[in-house]
Amino acid sequence: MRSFAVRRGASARRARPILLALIAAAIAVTSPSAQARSPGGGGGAGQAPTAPAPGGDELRERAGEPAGGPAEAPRPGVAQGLNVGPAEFSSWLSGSPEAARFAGAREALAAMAERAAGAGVPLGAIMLRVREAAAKRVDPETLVAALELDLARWIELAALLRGTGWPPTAQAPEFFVAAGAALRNGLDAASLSELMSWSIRAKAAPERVGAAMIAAAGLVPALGRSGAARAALALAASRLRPGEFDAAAASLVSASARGARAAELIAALEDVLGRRGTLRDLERRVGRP
Amino acid sequence: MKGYEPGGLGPEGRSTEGPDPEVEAVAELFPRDRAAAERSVEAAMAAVGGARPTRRPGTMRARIPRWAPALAAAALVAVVSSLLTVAIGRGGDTVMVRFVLAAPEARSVSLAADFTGWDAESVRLSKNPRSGEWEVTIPLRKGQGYFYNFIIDGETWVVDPAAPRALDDGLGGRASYLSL
Repeated sequence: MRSFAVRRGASARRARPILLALIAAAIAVTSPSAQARSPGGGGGAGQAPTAPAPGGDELRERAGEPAGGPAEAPRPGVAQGLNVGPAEFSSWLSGSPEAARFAGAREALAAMAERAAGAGVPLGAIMLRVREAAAKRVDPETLVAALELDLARWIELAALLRGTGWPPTAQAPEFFVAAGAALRNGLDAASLSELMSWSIRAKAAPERVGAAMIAAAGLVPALGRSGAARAALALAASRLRPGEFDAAAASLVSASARGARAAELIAALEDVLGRRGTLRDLERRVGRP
Repeated sequence: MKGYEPGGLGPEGRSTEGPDPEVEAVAELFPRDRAAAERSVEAAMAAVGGARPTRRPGTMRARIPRWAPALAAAALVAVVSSLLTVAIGRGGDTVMVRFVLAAPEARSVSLAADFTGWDAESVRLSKNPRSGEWEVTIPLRKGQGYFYNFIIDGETWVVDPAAPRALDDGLGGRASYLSL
């Protein structure tokens, strides 16, 4: 019995590190999930009662189980059948519930689709805008007017990208919608040639470039259109995550409000981000919002 | 220890010498035959309340094979690596985003977004009984931006007051924008 007890004690001592390793592994496994809930920049809304928002930049990603909603949000694009040719678009226009809402504008939409296809604008971008308009119960005249403006901007943008293979077909509809929003909210396509050239050369992620453009659109009042376009390039080419773009732009807007000149801010942004600096480096340089 | 008779508790062996007085003295104190020894053990175990040994004490072994720790380590590595792979797959490229709207008078709040195909019905917020706020948590992919609106009582489209950006949607309203 003594021998057995001694041996059992020895095996327990051997097993202890293994048990500790298993516990550590369990902690390590749960940690990434928790981290996945907390990083990123900016987000939804309001404050959860039990899990305060991390950081000071209005982060809205928090731990907690879904209070409702789908288990997995579908990704726009491929999952929603946005990569369509003219024939499929025509079929969608005549048969889908959302397009049926705009039956009176069908000819105008078909004509716009034809112009879009000829210019290299993805027809999925039009589909996304029609879906949005249908959900928002916009009248057909408003939709057509809005799409005419979008299409003019998209055609100008498509001219910078034609024949380059960028953005990839799968991501093109969402990129054009994001770029269209940035152009509608301040940027102009004429200032974007450098950003588009870089995106093509670098084979940049279209989602990232679109997010940089939208963040930069908010800088137009502070930096002007050409300055904002340079900011978009600096952001897109930086090491910042897209979730940090808005915080970076906010720090520039804040510095501008404190009296900093546009040229100084652009130089600071390009210098810090060009040296692979972080958001904190930028905030140290120009001040926190 | 020489001089023990075969069948005693000690190792088997037969002494060729005459009786040793010391051994004889010890033999007076301890039983020398198997039956007596087993009775003695039973009596001792009963006295301490322990379990009666089911095997001869000299054969009791609980050996841990030398390869067991290596096998355990290999199993640990396999388990940990597979669990980490699952964790990275689940949490590496998505982030849980909680959307919250303070609308105490609302009867219902839903979320419409480009990631729902602007379906105004698919994502409904639940009212938090403690805070009174409407909320929903959705996994979204990192590295891209999302347009969305809240819809109060199925009719009123509003932007998220806490969103980093609200953009002109070109359709006569505004849309919130969130990048991750």
